[in-house]
Amino acid sequence: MGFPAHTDGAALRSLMQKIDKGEQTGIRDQIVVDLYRKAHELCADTVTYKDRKKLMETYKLDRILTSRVWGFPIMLAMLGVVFWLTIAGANVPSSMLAGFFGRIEGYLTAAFQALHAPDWLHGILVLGLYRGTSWVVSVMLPPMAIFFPIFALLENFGYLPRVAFNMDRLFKNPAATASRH
Amino acid sequence: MSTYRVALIGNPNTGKSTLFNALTGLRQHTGNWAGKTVVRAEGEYEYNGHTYNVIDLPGTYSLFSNSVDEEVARDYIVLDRPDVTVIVLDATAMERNMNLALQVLEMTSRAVVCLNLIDEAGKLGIEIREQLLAEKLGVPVVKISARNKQGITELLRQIENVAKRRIVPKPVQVKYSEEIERRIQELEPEVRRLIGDDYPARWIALRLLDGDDSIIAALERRLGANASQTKEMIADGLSCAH
Ligand SMILES: Nc1nc2c(ncn2[C@@H]2O[C@H](COP(=O)(O)OP(=O)(O)O)[C@@H](O)[C@H]2O)c(=O)[nH]1
Ligand SMILES: [Mg+2]
Repeated sequence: MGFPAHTDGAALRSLMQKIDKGEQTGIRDQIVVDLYRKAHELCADTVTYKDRKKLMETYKLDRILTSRVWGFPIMLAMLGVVFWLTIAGANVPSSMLAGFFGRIEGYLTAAFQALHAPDWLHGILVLGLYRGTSWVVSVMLPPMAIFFPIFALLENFGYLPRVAFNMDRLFKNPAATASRH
Repeated sequence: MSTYRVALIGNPNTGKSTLFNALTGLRQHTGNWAGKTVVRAEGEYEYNGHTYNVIDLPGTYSLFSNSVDEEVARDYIVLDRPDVTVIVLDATAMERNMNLALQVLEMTSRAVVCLNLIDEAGKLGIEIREQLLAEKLGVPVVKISARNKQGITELLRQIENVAKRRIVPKPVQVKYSEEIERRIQELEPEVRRLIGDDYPARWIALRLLDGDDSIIAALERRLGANASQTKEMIADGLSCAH
């Protein structure tokens, strides 16, 4: 597709093999230096910083949040707080919901009795379906209602990308991390 | 009506996936790159009656094939040659991001530079003169906020311009040291003779000088596939004749 008739990968390889290996050493470093120089030059001409102080503050905060030493402890502490808030905070609304559903179950049972509904129907609908659903809702809903907004907040503050950055460093090979800056 | 292929490339966390979602909405599906454990997200959108097939390439800091992610991104740009490559930059970290943009512009001229997180940059007091930057880079530059869906229309317009070749960008090329430039000049015509005009000869010459085996291996794999395809076509031709 689109290759000229004389296209030949093997010829490329032999072309590379003809290049003096001795001359290759250090060329990557030079390439990277030249790239950075050009990038710097372009940005110097087109990007202006009106509020250097604010910028320095965010950089400083960034450095702490993603530092090799503090990145992970801060992350674990944040996660700990989030989980604690979720679990502790969910207890109260959970039991309130459970109580609420329990009261309704009482009414439902009374209604079934008033209608002389058979026991098996009451068993399936009230003791099975209703109780199961209300249990799931009272256990699941409050933690979700707390957990997701907190995460949305962290996301809004831009903390999650910093977590991603920390995790990247954990999972990428050390050689790649050594060369970034 | 035609279909164009658009690739999104950029550093990690520059909002590529957010932009991808903003562009394609629900018309997307994910899988893996053939034989690699790298996620491949593909989707499409319609604009002015044409279909645009979008690929969200893995985020990379450079394209020197240090990792599978970098190789996937590089191979897609160089070998699969999308109609438009959208280079997504984090407007709050221009210098670090520009580095990747320059590398991509060595590999393809059919590019649009997209300055994302422009809302954050504004809050931080960062001002970017995108018109001047576009002149200096030689490709269209669009400011957007993918999350707030700002500037998307202008981006779509510029993607269309490049896809339909109403704009044929002439991207700036990094000038290397005299020594490297001299050797590129020696090598480039030879490379061009071997692989034709469809591929970035200058960039491949640079990779040869750099001793980068993997791009040659990738080229060989493609050429191999190409050769067997040709063989099949010849075989088909023969069986038809009988
Ligand atoms: N403020 C702001 N945040 C954004 C914007 N675009 C993306 N983000 C956020 O940047 C982070 C990284 O985005 P993502 O799309 O995952 O980046 P990717 O790694 O390049 O795919 C997420 O937290 C996004 O919500 C934007 O235009 N403005
Ligand atoms: Mg992504």
